[in-house]
Amino acid sequence: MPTMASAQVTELLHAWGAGDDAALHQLVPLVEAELRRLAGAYMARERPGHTLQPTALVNEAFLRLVNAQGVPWQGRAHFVGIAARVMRRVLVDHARARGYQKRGGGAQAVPIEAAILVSRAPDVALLDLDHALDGLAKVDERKAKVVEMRFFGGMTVEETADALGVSIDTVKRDWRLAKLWLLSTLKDLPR
Amino acid sequence: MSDRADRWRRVEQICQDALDRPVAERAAFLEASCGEDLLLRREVEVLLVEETASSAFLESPTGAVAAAVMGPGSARLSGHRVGVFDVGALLGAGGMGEVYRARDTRLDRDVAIKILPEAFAHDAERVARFQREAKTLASLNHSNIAAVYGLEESAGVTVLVMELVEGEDLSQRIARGPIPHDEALPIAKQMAEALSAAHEHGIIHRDLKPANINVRRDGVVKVLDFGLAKAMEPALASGGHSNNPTITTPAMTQAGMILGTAAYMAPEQARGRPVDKRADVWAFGAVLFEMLTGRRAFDGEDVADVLGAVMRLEPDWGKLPLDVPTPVRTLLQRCLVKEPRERVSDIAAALFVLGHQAGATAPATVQAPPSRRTWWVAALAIGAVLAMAAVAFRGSGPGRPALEPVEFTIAPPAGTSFGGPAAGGTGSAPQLAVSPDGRYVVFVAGARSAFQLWLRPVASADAKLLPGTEGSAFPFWSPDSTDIAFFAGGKLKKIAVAGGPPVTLADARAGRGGSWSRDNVIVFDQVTGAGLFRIPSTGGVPTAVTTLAEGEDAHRWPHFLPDGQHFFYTAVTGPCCPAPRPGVVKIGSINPGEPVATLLQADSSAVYASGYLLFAREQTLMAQPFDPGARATTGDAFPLRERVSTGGNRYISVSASQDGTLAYAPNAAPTEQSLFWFDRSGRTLGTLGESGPNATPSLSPDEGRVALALRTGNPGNLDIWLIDIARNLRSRLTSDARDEGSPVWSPDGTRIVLGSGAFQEARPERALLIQAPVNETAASETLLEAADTPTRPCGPRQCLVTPTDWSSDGRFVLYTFSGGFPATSDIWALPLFGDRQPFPVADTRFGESLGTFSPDGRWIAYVSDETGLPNVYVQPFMRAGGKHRISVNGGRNPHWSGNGKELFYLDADGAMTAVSITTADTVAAGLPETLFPVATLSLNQMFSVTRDGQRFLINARPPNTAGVSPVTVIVNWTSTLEN
Repeated sequence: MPTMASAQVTELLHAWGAGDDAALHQLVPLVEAELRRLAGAYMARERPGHTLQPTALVNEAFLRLVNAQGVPWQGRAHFVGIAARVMRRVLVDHARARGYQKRGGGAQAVPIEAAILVSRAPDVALLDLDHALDGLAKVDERKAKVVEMRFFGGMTVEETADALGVSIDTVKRDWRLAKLWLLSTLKDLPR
Repeated sequence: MSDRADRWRRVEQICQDALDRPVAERAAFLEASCGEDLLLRREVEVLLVEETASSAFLESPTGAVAAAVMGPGSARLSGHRVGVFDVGALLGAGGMGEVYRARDTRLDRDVAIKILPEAFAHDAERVARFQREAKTLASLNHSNIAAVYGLEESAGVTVLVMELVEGEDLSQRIARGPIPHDEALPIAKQMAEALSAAHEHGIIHRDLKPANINVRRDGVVKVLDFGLAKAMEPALASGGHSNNPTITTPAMTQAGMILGTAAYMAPEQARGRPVDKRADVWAFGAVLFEMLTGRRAFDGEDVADVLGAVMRLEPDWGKLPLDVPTPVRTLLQRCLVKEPRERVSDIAAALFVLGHQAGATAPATVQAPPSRRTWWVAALAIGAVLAMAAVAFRGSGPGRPALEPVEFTIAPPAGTSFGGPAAGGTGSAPQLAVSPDGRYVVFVAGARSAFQLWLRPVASADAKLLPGTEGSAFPFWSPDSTDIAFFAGGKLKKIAVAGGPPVTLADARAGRGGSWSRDNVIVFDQVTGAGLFRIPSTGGVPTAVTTLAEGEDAHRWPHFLPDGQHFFYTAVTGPCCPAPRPGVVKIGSINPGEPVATLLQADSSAVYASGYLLFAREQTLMAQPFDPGARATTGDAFPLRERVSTGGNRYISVSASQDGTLAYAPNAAPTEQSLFWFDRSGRTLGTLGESGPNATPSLSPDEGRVALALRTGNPGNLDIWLIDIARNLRSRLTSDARDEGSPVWSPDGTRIVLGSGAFQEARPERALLIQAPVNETAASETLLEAADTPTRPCGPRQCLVTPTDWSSDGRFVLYTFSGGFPATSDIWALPLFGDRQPFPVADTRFGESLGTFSPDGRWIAYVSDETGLPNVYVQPFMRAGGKHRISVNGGRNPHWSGNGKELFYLDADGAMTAVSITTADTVAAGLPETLFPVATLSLNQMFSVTRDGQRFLINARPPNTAGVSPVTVIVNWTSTLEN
């Protein structure tokens, strides 16, 4: 049961693609609601056998939101980018709301449990990452977007390249450098 | 375009290009790209060093992150049916899945179900293993353990079915504040019951924490998730992490490792070592501490911090409320001992203590002492229990103490450590003495140099400072337990336990021990270089009672036998500290003319107690039956305790009362540095024994010997010693009164060049470089006497010359020339041919030091502080060419591997670091690779590396130093021996 009319989203997307920033603001809460619902569904294994693939998560949202045939490819790519941004916002808001305060903020820092669990990555707190990503956007906006799409949006290199209108190689190079930048920045955060 | 954006573009471009190149070529590339712009290079380097870490960074599936962050509160299974289960309310969520209340429609009962993560459910091997574990878990039937019913595969979801436990978990309870001890102890007791039952079945919890402990409204405690941590572990949980420097411990890579778990993890668990039930004992202690204080025993900002606290820090014992009973405090301390072997080894100990404290059911009766073979193991298990019980008996009522062995520990008072005035190699052995009536333990503790006597009644938890005992050492008791004699300020003094100022009895400049006979004669060590003296305990003129035999340097540690006529003492031969040889324990007499008898060889002095001779052999506390009348041993020596502290002066930290109370200090982690062998992963391969704080271990070219400077004598001067590695034998190379240091071997191993110091106040001499033959058949030769330069006076005590390397062709010695005004240091080379005129190699206004030749002699690596921090550089030797910076995060003490392809140094954090390097026409270095951290007292510790670059000889603190062990007191210690 879709929570909103596909047509409405498609329209907003078109409007945003045509340069109407207000459309984006209308779009965000719609996407957010849908993502919340989806994330919850994943959590509860409502769909047994479904793997926690990030791409699937975002694409799933996309498919539920819009009638793919009605959206030009360019629009789709942009949309996925938006979905990534929304995903980031939802996650960060959740982290904040649950008292996952930044270090020194009174509450204890909670690392991304899953990040340790799954990838052996350093235990970077989500809020720290969010903060560092803002910093990266100031230095190099495209690289920040690449991270947003790849990590928060779960987009593939190809999808990211499409969304940003750059080559696959550029995304790869942006991705690897952005990770180095973020790591070196996160290392310098006060502990 | 702004400058900043432009700058970033350059950094990015160079960084990207560097990433495209093999590691070995990068340094050269950076050199070429950045030129003299060191800041640019630095900016690139800080990015490049993250390369290894970045491979795993941000690569986790977003969904997993989402699941972790969004957690419960989203849609859930509630209200749905999964297989045979009608799912109800969400009860909780954790790293191992969400837990729901559910109705098992088949069996028609309410259960809790845990939805296992998909990653787990898809791993057939893990599920199979878990099935087996679940069966074992299901066999646990105990009222304090939440039962596991089984694992079910239902509608594609893997579900763990468990007993439904309703109530509040301890973490929620603790969040509201500390739990009063009369409420907390019954909870703890039930936790202990649960652990005890599980341990009997061979099941270890491994993840005991407040969130896993439920307290029902009726007060019944249920421990959840027994054994799940193990059962859910991926088969290949470890491995691969050692290459990732950002992972601090293997345990962090294991599934479900989160902050909430780390805080309760035993140190061995945190290190990824195999664990046994003692890990649960630790966690039990950590939870109990948290209940009583409302604070975690070990806490930190993040996982690494918490694990650091677990492995290195003591809980803040001061946080325990004052009304927590002493036995419980002691129990806590014994549960939270870092070394598993020293920890309470069986939760039954806790059960016993809490049984008494909580006023609950009577504890199981204490079993008869087991066979001698295992008694000390058992003692560790039950000792703590009994100690507390017995102390409580003693403190609370009249009557004789229980006859069971009883054990407890004494920690140094807050802000102090055990020890004593450090002069003369006293070492770290705690100094203690039990009063003859067994009611008190006196010990020496203090901060830094201010050591004083503390009096600890056995029946009380608090030690009392004895005023007026500043600088005191080696206390001993009067036979009636009313006075304590001790050494302070070069005098023998006594002080009444009842109070009053100390009274000086005699001069005693040596002061290595004394003993007070039943006839009020004190025998003591008065001066070095003479035997023992006696004096009436009221004071008077000391008279000699022993005389040094040939070859003996000192007599120490007298200890009267019960007859008051004879005493043990230790005859010391040769210098004590660098090369302790077994001491000889002899029996002397206060009766003139009675011959001295030799009793035994030991690594320490000996004391007599309750029919036994106690002494140390290889740091094991040994006991041997002894007949004081016949003054002879009557049986074989056997180990009493695994470890006991002894000093280099042969002091042994053991004392006993007449009625069977024994106090000893387990061998505390030495705070002094020793020479350790490490492999490239930081594993300790062995030790060559103690060394001074800054001694440079210098490996001989054949790697069979080590030369280093050791301080001997009192106050002592530095001499060069040679250690035969295979036999660990020490021999002295120099023995003059000057300070020698920094030995460097000639390439053929026949000579050593060393620096001869000129900083000793008493010896206003200029610094020298001296060449000493190793085989002693030739005389030493002064190669260089430090001379004034136009800009730098170099008179006595003004500057220093420190040799650092000898070229492989034998033609040049590199040395550091330091001191002067303005103070600086430079690197010079001394040719050993021609006119032998030294010339500067690196002498800028910055400080250069520690030059070392590449094996082919064409390059030198050295340290310069030109960036403000010491860093390692390489530059050509006697050829034109600039210098190349090698280290990124600071660097000291560079060493080349034998093939010249690697440089090793210690970075700013003291971590051993390796850099691959090629030196053809130019220098190209790879990125620094951190090998292992080095524990040290100063950042200037020295090391040597074998030619193959595989083994490091480092003058360091012992690895895994876990702090000072407490003094252990055993009441009725002999009853442990009866079988």
